[in-house]
Amino acid sequence: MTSIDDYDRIAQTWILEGPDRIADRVLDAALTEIHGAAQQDAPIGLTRLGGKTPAFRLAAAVAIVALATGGLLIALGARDRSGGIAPSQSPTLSPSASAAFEPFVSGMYHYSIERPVTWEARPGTEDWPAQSYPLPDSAGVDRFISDDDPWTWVVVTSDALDPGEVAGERQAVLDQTNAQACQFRGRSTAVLDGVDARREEWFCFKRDHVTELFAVHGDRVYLVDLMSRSEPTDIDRAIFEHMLESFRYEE
Amino acid sequence: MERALVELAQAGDEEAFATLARASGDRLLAIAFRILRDLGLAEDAVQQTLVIAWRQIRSLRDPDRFDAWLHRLLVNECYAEARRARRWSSHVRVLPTEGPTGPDELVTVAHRDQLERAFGRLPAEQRAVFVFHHYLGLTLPEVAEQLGVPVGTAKSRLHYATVGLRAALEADARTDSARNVRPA
Repeated sequence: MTSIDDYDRIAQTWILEGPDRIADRVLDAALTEIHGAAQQDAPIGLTRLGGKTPAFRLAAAVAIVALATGGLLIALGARDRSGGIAPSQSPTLSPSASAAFEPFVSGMYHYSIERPVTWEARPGTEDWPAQSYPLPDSAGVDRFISDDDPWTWVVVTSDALDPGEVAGERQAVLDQTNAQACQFRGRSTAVLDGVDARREEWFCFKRDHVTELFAVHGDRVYLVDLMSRSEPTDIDRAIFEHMLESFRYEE
Repeated sequence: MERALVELAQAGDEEAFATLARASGDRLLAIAFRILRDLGLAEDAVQQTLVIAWRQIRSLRDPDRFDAWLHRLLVNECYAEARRARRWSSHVRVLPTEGPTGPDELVTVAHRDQLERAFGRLPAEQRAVFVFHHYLGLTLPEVAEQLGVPVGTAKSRLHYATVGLRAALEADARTDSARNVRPA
């Protein structure tokens, strides 16, 4: 009788099998290809801030984000500190902002947003899984990945409510899922494109910081998350706020 | 030593990069093969990884993290190769029965066949976690860090990969036992 442990041991032994020497021709081909090939410069902009002091980073963040959003910081100062973002406080983008953010339209999840041009966008291709929570690195979400820290993501997704389903049921699934892996850190109200939203702070898997907005528009539920492996930087928070400000439901 | 070589490579020293490439080549190929299960695809992934590494090495902020950074590039290339292979589905699968590690008596030919099929059905992301954990011997937090995913995601992927492979072996065993009890 073979046990589960035996099966696992067989698989773990099997994965050790196979070649572990590379052919010289492969290395030679790679080295020939790089010979004389140009190297890319390190990314400029926010990435350059990585090696600077926190004070420098904060000052630079203020300068960059203020430039990028054309007065977002002023709006942030006047913003409801409980997390609400009044639509009337949306900053007007300066001409320079178009270089820092660009529109992203999701036909899949029925929204549009402005994302930093330097952040990688990985559009989702799948619906929110039934009776479950769309994993942040799954194909069930649009993911925007910081160029400064590959662990910092803004994740957006939405799903149509099933016939007869009320938003509270979907919210309960989310709450239950979050509670299994995360510590609850706080809740406040917010506004997402003129619609009341719930904003929560979670600390998950003892390392992931999550700010999550949950909103219902028409027959769809929407999630917008900021996720990072350490406390989000001031830059990331400001970028996230800008993305929330620019968020629009698409019919 | 490696740090000095990385810094030299970042300054454009091809010889330093060649030394790094030769030191990493065997390990990269071993990882790529175990994820892709195809020697040709694995060689392509390694070659492309080294070219990308040369181009982008200046973006590596901490030279001490060269290996982890290289692993991340390799896995991304493996994902790309896996997607290409699936799209064209024309590659010939190489099933090595012997290698430097040598076949283990614990693993029969039937097991290998079942495992190859089951592993090929797993998403490349799950395969990578399984290889990093069981082949490289990394802990789940280390796997998560090298692959750039949360620990919970790595854990989940390892779980699904393990369950998938286990199910394949169990199904094979059930078929065998059913055959054995059937009257001749």
